Amino acid sequence: MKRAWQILLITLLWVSAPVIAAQQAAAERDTRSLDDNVQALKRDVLKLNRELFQLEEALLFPTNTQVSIFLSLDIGKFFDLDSVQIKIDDKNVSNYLYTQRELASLRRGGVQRIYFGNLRAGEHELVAFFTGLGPQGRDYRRGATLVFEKQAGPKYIELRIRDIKSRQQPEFVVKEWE
Amino acid sequence: MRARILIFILLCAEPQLFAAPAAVRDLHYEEVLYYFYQGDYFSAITRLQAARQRQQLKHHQEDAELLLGGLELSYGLDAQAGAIFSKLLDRHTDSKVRNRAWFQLARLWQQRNEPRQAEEALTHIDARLASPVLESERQSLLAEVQMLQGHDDAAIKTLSAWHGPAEDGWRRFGRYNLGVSLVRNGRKAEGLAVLDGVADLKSHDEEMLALRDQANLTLGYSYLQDQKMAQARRYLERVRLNGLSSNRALLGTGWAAAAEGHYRQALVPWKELASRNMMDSAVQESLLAIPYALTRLADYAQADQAYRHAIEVLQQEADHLVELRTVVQDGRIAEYLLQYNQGGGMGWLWHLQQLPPGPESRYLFRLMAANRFQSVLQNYRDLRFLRKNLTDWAASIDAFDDMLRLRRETFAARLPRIQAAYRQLDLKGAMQQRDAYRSRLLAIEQHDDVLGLATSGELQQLFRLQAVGQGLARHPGRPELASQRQKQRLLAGVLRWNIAQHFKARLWQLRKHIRELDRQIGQAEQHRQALLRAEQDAPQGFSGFDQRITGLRQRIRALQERVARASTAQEKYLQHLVMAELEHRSRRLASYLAQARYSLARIYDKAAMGAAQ
Repeated sequence: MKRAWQILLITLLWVSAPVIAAQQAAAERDTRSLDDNVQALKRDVLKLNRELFQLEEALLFPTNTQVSIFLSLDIGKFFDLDSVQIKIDDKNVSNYLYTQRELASLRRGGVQRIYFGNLRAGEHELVAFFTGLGPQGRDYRRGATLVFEKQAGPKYIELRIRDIKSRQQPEFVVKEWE
Repeated sequence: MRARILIFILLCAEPQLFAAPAAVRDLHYEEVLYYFYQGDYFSAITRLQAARQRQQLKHHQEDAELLLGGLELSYGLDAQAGAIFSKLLDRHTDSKVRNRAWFQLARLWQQRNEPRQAEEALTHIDARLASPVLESERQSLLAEVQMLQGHDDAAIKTLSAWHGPAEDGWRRFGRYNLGVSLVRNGRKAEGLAVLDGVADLKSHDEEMLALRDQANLTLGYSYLQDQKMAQARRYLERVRLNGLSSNRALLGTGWAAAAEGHYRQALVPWKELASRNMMDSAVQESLLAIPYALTRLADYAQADQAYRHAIEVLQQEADHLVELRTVVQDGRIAEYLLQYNQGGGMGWLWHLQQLPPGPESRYLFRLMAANRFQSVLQNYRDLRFLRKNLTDWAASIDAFDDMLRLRRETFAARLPRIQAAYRQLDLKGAMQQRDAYRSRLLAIEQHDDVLGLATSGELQQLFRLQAVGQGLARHPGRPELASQRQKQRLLAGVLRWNIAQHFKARLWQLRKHIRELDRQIGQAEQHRQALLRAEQDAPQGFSGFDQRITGLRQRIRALQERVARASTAQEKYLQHLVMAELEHRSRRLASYLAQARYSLARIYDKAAMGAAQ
């Protein structure tokens, strides 16, 4: 309804001089031209951003040594995630504390890349610790482990937190992606 | 509100986009969603475009395209987004959902001040919308965008064909717009008749009452223009005293009375008007109208006082405007406004909500509420974000140079050491030996050659026993050697038995060792190949990075200049809009002041002439 007031203000033009309409048309053209310029700039900056983003990844994390660890979350009825700690080969590589906004995003199906790094080829051990509130609101800390083989090419690993309804408990799984 | 509409459109076109999380299918697509759900659209677009280019969205190609359309729309890239939605929404099989999505998209275009695109989106709707409220709004929106494009004929056709309940709010707005369109189209009598219906509507709803006031105001001024004062007063006196249209109605009522010579009557609404906010043009005009009426009533003393008061007040306002114009000219109006509107969002999902506390807000709030002003300010804000983004990248790109230099140096330092290590490693020899072992093992297996896998200790023992046997065989006729002969046969037998017992296990063990040898030789060969490739490709790779970094650095600089120019242009245009508004007000005030001074001078002239006589 409120939007209709825009047209009401505009319709009073019919009692005003026609020159106002001409002035407005000129102003609209000016705005359009500025707007077109800004749209073109935005497209170019987006394109540049994409290329810089890819270059940064390629420089910092060459494909052959690249390792990405993702975190996905189920609805989270049985576990209220607070933070995640990741160790690779007994070395701490990530400590992440979540905001409400990030948790909401995860619950809706977003997946977070929690760690992006480099590893040499060979066998490695990943240990992830999940801290938060468990069933009945008690403090909860659980771990999950994976021993994996790093070969040439990017490695993707997913940490999954899922609700197991039959057990009324959360489950923490580490999955390797091909 | 706009973000919710955007999400609705995406939801209509692809419900799975926002469904409860299922198993992850494309990590990179779901990563984009992570940023999207947090409202970080810029990061989402960057990652989505990168993932598309790398073909990392196998299971979500259509979802990704739709999401990209929505993100580009939110970012203000209308043309690109429009094309994507047109392609995707028409593929949706459920017509109800499709029609509703097109309607929401039309609303977004309208809010974006794009009536042509809005009308085009509405043409995709092939049936009445399921919800009666939305259907009414659709009709109203269609007529509105037609009117905004000056297509009054089309608007009249749309609005005339609209039949719905009389008390429907949207329909009432539609009736008002029909009246206006008819008048604009030269069918004044018809238009006024339609507006008359709106001017008489019954409601308790504030919006409807405001619409009724507007209809009465429009009719009142139309009759004023046509010099039909009685009719003008009839409509103007219906306008509520406390509504948005009340000031202009009071002014018009006074003029209608004055035009008929009823100056004392005219003073009533004008005096009420003069007590209101001085920034309104109707109120300013009333300051001159009152002494005018007093002059016509020959009350020159009161008129003199009133003109002086008017001049004083109007001059004060004019001085305020001069100060404000100086401040606006020297200052940075855009930055000043954004200071009070720090919120998130980008593109046209953001709009100005909080007015600054200074005097400019009182003069400019209507201008600031207008789509045009908001659009320019949104662009300025987005450009500010782009400027920061480019500044951050400009700093990072120098770091890329350092990274590349370090990698080059590390590579150059390590390569000779690794090459030397490989030269020492006789891989070929190792392969040959492995092949020999394998062949030997194969022969042993094929011929069941148990002795082939005997240990050296066992073989030594066997040879000793054989030697003993041969020694005993040289003395065949000696009976005292019979027991030794037996012992020799027994021991040789036991030894052969033991060797035979261990044969299978040893065979298995050897096969395992050869497999392990195979694996390690294979690995070493792979590493050698990788080393050769790296030796060949690395220099090219480094120079490839060099070129990319150089090219990107140049583009960053070029874009920084363009963004700076565009920001300046947007800010200048905003300033121009503000100055134009202030200029317009100043001119009006100057005109009123001139009139007031002239009228005051005439009173003095009259008084002087009267005194002379």
